Amino acid sequence: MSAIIDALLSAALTLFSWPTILYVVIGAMLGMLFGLLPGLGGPILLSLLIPVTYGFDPEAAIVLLAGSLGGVAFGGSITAILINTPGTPPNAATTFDGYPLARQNRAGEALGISATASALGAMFGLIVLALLIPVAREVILAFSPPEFFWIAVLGLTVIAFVAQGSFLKGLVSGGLGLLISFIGFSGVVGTYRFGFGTEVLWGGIELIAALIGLFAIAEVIKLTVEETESIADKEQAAVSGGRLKGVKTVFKHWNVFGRSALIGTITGIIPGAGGTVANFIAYIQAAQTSDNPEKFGHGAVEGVIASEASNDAKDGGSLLPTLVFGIPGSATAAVLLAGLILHGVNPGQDLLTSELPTLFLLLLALLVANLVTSLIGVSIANQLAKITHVPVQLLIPVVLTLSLVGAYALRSNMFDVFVAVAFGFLGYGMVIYDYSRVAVIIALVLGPLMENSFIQSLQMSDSGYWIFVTRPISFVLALLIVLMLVMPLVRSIVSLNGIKPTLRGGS
Amino acid sequence: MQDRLNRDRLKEYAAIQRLLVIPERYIEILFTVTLLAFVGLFLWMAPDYGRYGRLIPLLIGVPTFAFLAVTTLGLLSTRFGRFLNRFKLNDILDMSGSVSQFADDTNESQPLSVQRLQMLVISGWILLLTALFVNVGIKEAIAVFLLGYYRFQAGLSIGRTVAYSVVIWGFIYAVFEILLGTPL
Repeated sequence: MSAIIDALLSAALTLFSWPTILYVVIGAMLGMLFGLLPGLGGPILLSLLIPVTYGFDPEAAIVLLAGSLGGVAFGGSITAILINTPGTPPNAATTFDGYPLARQNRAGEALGISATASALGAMFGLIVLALLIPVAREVILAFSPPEFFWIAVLGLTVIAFVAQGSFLKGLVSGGLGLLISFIGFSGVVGTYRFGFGTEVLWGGIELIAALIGLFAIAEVIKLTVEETESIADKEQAAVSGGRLKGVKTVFKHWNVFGRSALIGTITGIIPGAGGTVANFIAYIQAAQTSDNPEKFGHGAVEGVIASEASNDAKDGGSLLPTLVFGIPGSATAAVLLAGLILHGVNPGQDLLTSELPTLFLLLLALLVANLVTSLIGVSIANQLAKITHVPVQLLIPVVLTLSLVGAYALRSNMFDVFVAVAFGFLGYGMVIYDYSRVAVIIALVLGPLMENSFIQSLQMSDSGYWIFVTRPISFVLALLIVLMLVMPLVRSIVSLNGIKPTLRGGS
Repeated sequence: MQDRLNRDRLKEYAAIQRLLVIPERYIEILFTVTLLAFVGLFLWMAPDYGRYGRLIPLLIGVPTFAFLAVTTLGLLSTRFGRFLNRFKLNDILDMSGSVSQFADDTNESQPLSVQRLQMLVISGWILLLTALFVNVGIKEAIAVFLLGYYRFQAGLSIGRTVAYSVVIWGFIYAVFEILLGTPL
């Protein structure tokens, strides 16, 4: 326990030193800015920021990335409330009651609720994560290559299932990402594979270049094709009404907040479930348990509390699989993980033992960023919302040049620019034809872990492939994966046969 | 001579027109078949590697190829496609169609030909920037691209074009060349 306290103190000292704390504030502001702009969420911001942090020392880079992550969630709620446009998908449910509140001239109250629920939700999720660290440390020691193989497969399975779109296309996206991750020289296999007769692919596909393409460049194409003039319409509700009242409202509905934050944290822990799922589950439970469910959708304060508390609490939860097992819980966590690895912070046992101060630095930066964002956000929400009216034609060259220069700066290699551009077109195709970009990214991250642990397991096995099911933890994980694969199929078939309404009482 | 030029232009125009009105389904088929060929290439190359080198790629590649083949079939046969579309992932959570704001669909209000034209235009700009990166140099490429895009695509005045370009170029130069020491 003393090691944890020492690590926490060390992290706090680093965080509050100059100029590290400045990076948190800058990250939080950037996060809020990108959260405000629909379409430009956390993954795009982090993709653009990672190249900027190349020359930074690891602490500065970690707090900048964590700070920006902390700012995105609340930023997205500002536009959700003021102009009925969620800045990020996990803010979607905030529009249901946030915007009606704004229309009732209660935007200030709604923003106060959102800021308070966001900050407290983030705190809740991070406290749960910190409490789980000693347990996670013990759990991870029981894991060896066969368990890591199943963990990687589990991460891939869940992510493919919760991806938006069709069942097959979710699986295809994951498969495609995995195949791309096998390109290049593999130390475990000892072979240079899938080089297509060239040597340029020796180092494999650079993950960050792929991320820049899939998210930033694809978004540029999408915005242009849609002929979007500005990211939001110029109809804007005034920020008026009692912000302090909003703060008090969250404490008044502490039970809604508590349940929603818990749902957010648990959903976040499940790899791939992500903020949107947490957001909706929390919103639905708030409506179901409310004494006035008819108010939901017409300006119920509980709706905003549920949505924002779960959205921010899920960040803490999603960091657990990301940092302990290297399985990102969301697209944002995947990009964050890539950034951390780039700066020498590798998930797993080291992060929970010798690198514990680094882990706490990340968590504290996230916490402080959430608090800073909430405080600043409420103060300047009206001015921030005007950013969404900047013409897209002005933003596109900025995003495009930053994307390509960022890709080049990875290794001062022009090939990475081609990779980013190619993935940009692939990403746009995936968006319009309903494939999952998130599944591709997660597969790119998890592919090497899955293959390496699979081969290492076979190399250490006396019983061949049986090693994957004869160890207790491996068996449970394998069973869990089979259930996850089979259950949705069964449910789909049942619903196709018209049995679904009967099972649900005919509703 | 002038007539020949006009005829050539008309032919080009007709070719672009045809491209702009190709049904979306055909483009999707082309996209899926490209993915299918890409995965097929992996499967074709995989047997060349040793046991451990080909094992996982084949285990992943074969079902991915099969799923893509099924998806392609779904696109070719409307009836089969309708059957496949009933297996929506969102059904697991009963969330399908509940919130349209975060759907990744393109803007349906724009005619298809306009969307296609915009797609060609932005693709042109992206490829131009990439080509300039390679042939002219990064710093120069950014300057040319920013000036060109703001002036001709965004339709800004010369003053605003220069002002925006200088600010963005200066920011990129300061961050990457000066701060990070990356030679552009």
